[in-house]
Amino acid sequence: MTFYKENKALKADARESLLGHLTTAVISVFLYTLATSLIVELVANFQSGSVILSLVLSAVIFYVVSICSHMLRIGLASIFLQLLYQKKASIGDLFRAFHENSDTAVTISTFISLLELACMLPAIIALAVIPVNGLTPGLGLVILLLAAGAIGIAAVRIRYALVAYLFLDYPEYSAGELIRGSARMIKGHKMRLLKLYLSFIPLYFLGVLSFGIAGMWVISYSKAAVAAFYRDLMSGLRAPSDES
Amino acid sequence: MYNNPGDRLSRTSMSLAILAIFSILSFPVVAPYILGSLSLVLAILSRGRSEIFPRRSRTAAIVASVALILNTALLIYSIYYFNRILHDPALQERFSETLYRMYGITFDEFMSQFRR
Repeated sequence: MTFYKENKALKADARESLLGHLTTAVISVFLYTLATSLIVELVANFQSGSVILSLVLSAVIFYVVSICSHMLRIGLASIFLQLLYQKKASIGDLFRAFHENSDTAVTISTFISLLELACMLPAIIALAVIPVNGLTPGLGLVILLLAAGAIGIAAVRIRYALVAYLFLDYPEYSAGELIRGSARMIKGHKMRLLKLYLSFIPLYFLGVLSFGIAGMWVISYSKAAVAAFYRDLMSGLRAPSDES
Repeated sequence: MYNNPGDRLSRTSMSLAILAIFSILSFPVVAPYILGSLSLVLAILSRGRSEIFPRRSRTAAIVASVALILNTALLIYSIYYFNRILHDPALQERFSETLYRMYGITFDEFMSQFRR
């Protein structure tokens, strides 16, 4: 029987891996946040009078941002995984998925982005079709669909939370194998990962209180904790497609 | 002297906590929230794998928490007092006189900046 570490121990491992490397971690998180917001800003300026065109544009924007952000997230995972393995990590690793094994990275990002788009599509359609002026039933429906979309995205992110780490540890596997491997690995551990994410809420509150500044350190801490979660699972499992 | 990264981090956390306390007097509301929150996060991170907080980090966390609580209390009191000024003509008159003595504008002139 395999015993996995408690969240407390995973967070301790995360803190230990960050000691002495916080600058690299925080700058990487800052660059990731900046790049993602910049992409959103750049593409958000496209607007059209036609409802259909707006709808298509919104969907395309969401899709492009989602792919780019996922590619960068793989880079972030690489930095925190290397720190956890006590290897040297640099800020340049943030863009690792763009130049190393990028075909697989793009396929993984496209798959996850499509799933996320599918979750948000009803909300995007509602936003484009329903006129929202003040407190109308339309606004309620849009908020409801947005909330449902956000829950869907959270479920997708938890199911495929480990795919970035598997991609980095097993570059020889195909995108499909890594995606299936991630879903198989997380089976039975989703609640544990959700609890790990939720345990950072008080710290994220401090991030909000500091106008996002302390948030950079909190994101670094939570990413390092997820990397520790992955390492803990790996210690109890074999490689993703060994069983098949 | 501070070769251990945990020590360096708790030292930074302590410095930020002290700055947070002092900033309540000089730059209220925004600065204490930024410095206090950052100090608390760094104090937590400085623990490393240790079960308990290092002494300096614990002190930093306490000082930062006090700064955050004091700042929040100050903010709530300011909102309460401003609300009283808006609804109490006598208090508004006194406040207007003080404002005129200090900055050369009346309360109405001050409020008209926000109505524009």
